[in-house]
Amino acid sequence: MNTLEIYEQIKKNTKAVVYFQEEEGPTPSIYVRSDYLLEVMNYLKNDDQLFFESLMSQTGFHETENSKLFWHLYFDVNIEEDGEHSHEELRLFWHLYSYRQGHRVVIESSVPIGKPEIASVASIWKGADWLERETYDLLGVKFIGHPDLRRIMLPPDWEGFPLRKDYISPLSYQTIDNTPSEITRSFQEKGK
Amino acid sequence: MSAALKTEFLTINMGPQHPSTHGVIRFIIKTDGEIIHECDPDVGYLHRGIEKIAETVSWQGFVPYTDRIDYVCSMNANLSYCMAVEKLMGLEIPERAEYIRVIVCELNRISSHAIAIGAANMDMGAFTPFVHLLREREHINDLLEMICGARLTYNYICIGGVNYDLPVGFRAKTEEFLNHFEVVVEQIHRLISYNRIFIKRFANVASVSPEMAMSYNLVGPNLRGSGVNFDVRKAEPYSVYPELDFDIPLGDGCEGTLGDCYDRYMVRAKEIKESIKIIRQCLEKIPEGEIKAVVKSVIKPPKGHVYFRTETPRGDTGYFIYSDGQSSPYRLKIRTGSFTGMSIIPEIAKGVFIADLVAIIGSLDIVAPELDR
Repeated sequence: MNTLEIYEQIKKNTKAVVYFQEEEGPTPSIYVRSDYLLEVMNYLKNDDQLFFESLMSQTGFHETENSKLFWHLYFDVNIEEDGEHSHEELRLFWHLYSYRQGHRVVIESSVPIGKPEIASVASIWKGADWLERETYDLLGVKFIGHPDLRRIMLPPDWEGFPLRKDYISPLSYQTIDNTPSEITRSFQEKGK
Repeated sequence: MSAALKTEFLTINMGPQHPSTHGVIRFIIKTDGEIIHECDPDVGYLHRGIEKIAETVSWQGFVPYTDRIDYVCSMNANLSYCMAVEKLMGLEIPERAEYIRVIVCELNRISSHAIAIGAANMDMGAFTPFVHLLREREHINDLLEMICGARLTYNYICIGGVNYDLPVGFRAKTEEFLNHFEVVVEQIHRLISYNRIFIKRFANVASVSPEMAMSYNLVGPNLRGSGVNFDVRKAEPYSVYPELDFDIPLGDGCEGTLGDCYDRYMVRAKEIKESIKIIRQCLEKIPEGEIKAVVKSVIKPPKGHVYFRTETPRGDTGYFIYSDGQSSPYRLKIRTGSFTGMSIIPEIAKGVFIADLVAIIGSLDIVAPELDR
């Protein structure tokens, strides 16, 4: 099945708010509003025709531009918490593959940067455990319902989330000095 | 007296400088005598922030970094990244370049599997096969040095093709090596694979059922060791693989249960033979022509995202790239086989001997820099 057919199946059989997204690059994706994620994922795993047994990859990135594709979707949901209407968001991607059916799909969602919370799919695919821990560690997305959400790559007392675009590397960590050397600074000035 | 006797789990630390953890990996193990009750892998000692670096360098400038993601099979890492970018750009590659890519990648696959097999043996206390296989790997390094001048981190495959054409005499030397190596594979099998002591040590340890392998998203030889017939080269063919004739070895539980350490080991050993077959066909079929498509010096792929995966020795390596149309990637994520291979260890290491944990790591073929990136 291709992405469009899968999209129609989801639309028909669940109540979730989903959008088909075609214009972005060579792979089409299905956008799921963040509060319906678990329902859609459960359906994709357990439906006999779709049967996505494996989660290939889970990732995301920090969208700083105001090119909001779907911000109006969660805007009405989180309007109280997100008082400033910050247009920044974390866009999240799940790549699923079915060994039995031989098809794949890209599921997309987004969370506002002020409240980066989304349901964990670790109860559906066991491999999601570590993938979500990595996304939490580097991007700061809190996966609700994850069995053991702690940092994986960085030390537990690290501050900040390095893959966010507004991250500034610290000048020191514990007793290690990380102030840029004279040579590094000269390059940084040249870059400006 | 006996009623007052108390027992408790002993928490011990293994690594990060343990010689048999294949790099800098640490395990925190709760033991009940010799038996592991709970095993918590602590990774990240080799985290270099390669994904963050990618956001600051140009598209071509990231190729040398992919070498460092997995230094045991740099060619394959180059290929995954370059093909992902090419898919994003919609670039056509000359046919000769595709054949050269397959040849070098399969040579690199052989050397990587040789190291995997040798290291697994060494962890089990058999040092001889490791030294033998390391010697054979030198021949492959010589061949790849002939092509690109480097022996470990090649930076050979580039966006649009390959950097240099095959040198004069490469075909003869490669065929000579393949003829020699086929004999060596048989010797290694006689020496270790069919060795009763080795089989006893590896069979029936840490079986992974097919469902579990798929749920944990094991990839490559680890997945095929559990009997799942999946290979990216066949299932989602790329490059010139559809034109080549090769088989996919599967684990069958021949010495114990399906998906045990021995199955994973044997899949690798058999894959070496398939790689030899592929290289022979490529040398036969390789056409004359260009080796590189015309690519601008500053690449700016169109806006969009792609997830592309190729079959590397440690399973399929997936590159997720998001481009915002600028001269460097906006976001690049690398999903590697070692990472998911490592995530299954807490489950399969439950109730095995501490000495068998080393067998599990060896059979899953975990390479630390690829795990941490």
